[in-house]
Amino acid sequence: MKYLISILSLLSLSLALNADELDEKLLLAGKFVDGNPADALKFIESKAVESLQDSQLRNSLEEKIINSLGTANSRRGKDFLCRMLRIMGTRKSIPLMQKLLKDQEIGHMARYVLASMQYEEAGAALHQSLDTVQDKLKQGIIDSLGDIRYKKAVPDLIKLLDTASVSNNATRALGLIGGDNVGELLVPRLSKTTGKAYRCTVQALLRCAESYLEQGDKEKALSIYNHFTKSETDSYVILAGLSGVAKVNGE
Amino acid sequence: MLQNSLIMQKQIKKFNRRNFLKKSAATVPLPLFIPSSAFGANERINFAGIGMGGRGRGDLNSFLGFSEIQTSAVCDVVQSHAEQAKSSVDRRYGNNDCKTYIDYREIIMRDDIDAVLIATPDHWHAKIAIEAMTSGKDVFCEKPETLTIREGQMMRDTARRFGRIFSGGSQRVWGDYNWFHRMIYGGAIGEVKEAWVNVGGPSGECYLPPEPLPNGVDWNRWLGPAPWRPYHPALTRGGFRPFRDYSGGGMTDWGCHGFGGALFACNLHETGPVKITPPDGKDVQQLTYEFASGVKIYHGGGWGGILSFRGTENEIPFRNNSKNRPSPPSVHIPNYKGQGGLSGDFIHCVKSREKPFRDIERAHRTATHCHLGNIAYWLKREITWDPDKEEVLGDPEVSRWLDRPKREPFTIG
Repeated sequence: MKYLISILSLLSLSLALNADELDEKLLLAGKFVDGNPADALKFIESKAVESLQDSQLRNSLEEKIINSLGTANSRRGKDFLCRMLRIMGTRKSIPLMQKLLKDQEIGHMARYVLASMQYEEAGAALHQSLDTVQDKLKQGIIDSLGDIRYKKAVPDLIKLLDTASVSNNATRALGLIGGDNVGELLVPRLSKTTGKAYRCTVQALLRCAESYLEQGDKEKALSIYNHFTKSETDSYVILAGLSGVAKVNGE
Repeated sequence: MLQNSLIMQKQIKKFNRRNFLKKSAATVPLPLFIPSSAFGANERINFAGIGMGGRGRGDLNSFLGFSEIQTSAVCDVVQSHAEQAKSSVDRRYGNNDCKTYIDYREIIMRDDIDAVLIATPDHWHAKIAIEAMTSGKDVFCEKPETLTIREGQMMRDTARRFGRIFSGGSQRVWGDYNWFHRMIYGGAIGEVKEAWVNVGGPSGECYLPPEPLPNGVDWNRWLGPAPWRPYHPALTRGGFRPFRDYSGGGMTDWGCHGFGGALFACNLHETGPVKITPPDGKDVQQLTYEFASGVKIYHGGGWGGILSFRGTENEIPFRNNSKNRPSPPSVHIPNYKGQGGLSGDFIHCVKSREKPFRDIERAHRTATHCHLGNIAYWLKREITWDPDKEEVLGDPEVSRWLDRPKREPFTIG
């Protein structure tokens, strides 16, 4: 019994030391500017990976990282802590990441976490933030909504098709997500756009046509491909349309 | 069918020579469109190089040796790299005509450019390649062709969608390792069962300190889609490979050669593994890839050289460059088309619209193999992979690594 108590005491002491070590290193990470102390950062990273196999560690580490992000005072420090959440963060991290999406410096890293997670709530956080940011940050969020195929955002993305600063991003995202009326909505852009915007529209429409075809809706796919076969556009685009027609016909 | 053919033939009449090149497809089943050569005997492929660091200039010099190529433009965010490349081009043609750019988009926008060489750091490959292909250009892209698995899927889909020629950049898969392929395809070891690939390890986080930004470096554009970090000179001088934001390390660098060679030798170059197990220091000594056919490929080990193989009847104990290795059996294995190695294969395929040896599917599958190995190393986690759907099975934490959100405004695809 005596031995057991001693072992348990040693074990709890070692856990406490580990916890202190982690706290100390997280504090250093938050101030990380010039590459040092790399050892501390590597230690935290190893813990983040380890935590994927240990739910207790994952839970406590995530809380500590969230707290550290609140006190971190360097951009690289915050960036590093977000990277750790990308590895092992859970739903618990989502509210803070949603808040950080508006941060001009760290917004990308917040998106780095949210768009990597496969939780519905992460997609919702990106979606809800769409109206709260402008310019580049908005472009990034739209891109991520497309990348994760967040269907609920479609009506809002459609509204953004006419906003010059993000219309290409919205077009791309809609092409990736697809959906019943998306193809029809994008077709008018073919005659309204040139250059990069036009190419972006073509790519989006061809993606829509492919998804229609995958779903077995040949008619819808064909209606898109036919826009290219009849158009007076670049010949490689005509060819993309013609090959689409051939695919619809099983050729 | 007849109606479609008539539409196609009507369209053909509208095409001039350059348009013909831009319209004809590598993979689209439209034989009516595909001539033996899209160019006339004296017509040259108008070419541009993007990413003119050491490797890019090496590739460019290789292309400059081909009379079928006319290099018109070069681009690099480091001004001195672009200037050095221009000097090589102008020296080759005896003029001062090669244009230099800092922003690759100016090359993409040029309608007169038929094909581009992309030799930037890996984190830029997908963005530039997709924009080039959606602008009707063919692409020769240095390996590792991708930074993430999703990028590779987007690149392949875009190439197929627009009928573009895309050649990956590993000259070693066939050029250096064809002796292994001839031995194995010729039956010298029976049915191949195991392969060992000796290449470097995975990349990791970058903790380099900040340094003052010199004149003549557009740092924001060098970073592009990668997360922000302060400038460090090692990164713009080719030292980016150990760092995950820009590269998969030795696993993807030489891995695209070595694993590419092993996959080709095992005839697994257009599929993928079903299980990837990282070393655990106990039962599993090496990163191990298992395929549905039962073949196993290991990272490291073997018995010397970059590649080793064991089959049902024999082993290949000879290093690739060993002088006393036996002559391989006489066997025909489809490889480069045209003349002049990997570059010649690309040029031939740009003209003929055939699939090049390192077609995007093969390049993407090889890179995927390397990326999956990296993820298994990074997360110390076994991965179950569906090579048909190209999805991780039952592990959302691993799936997080199939792609990375790009830094705005550097949208990909």
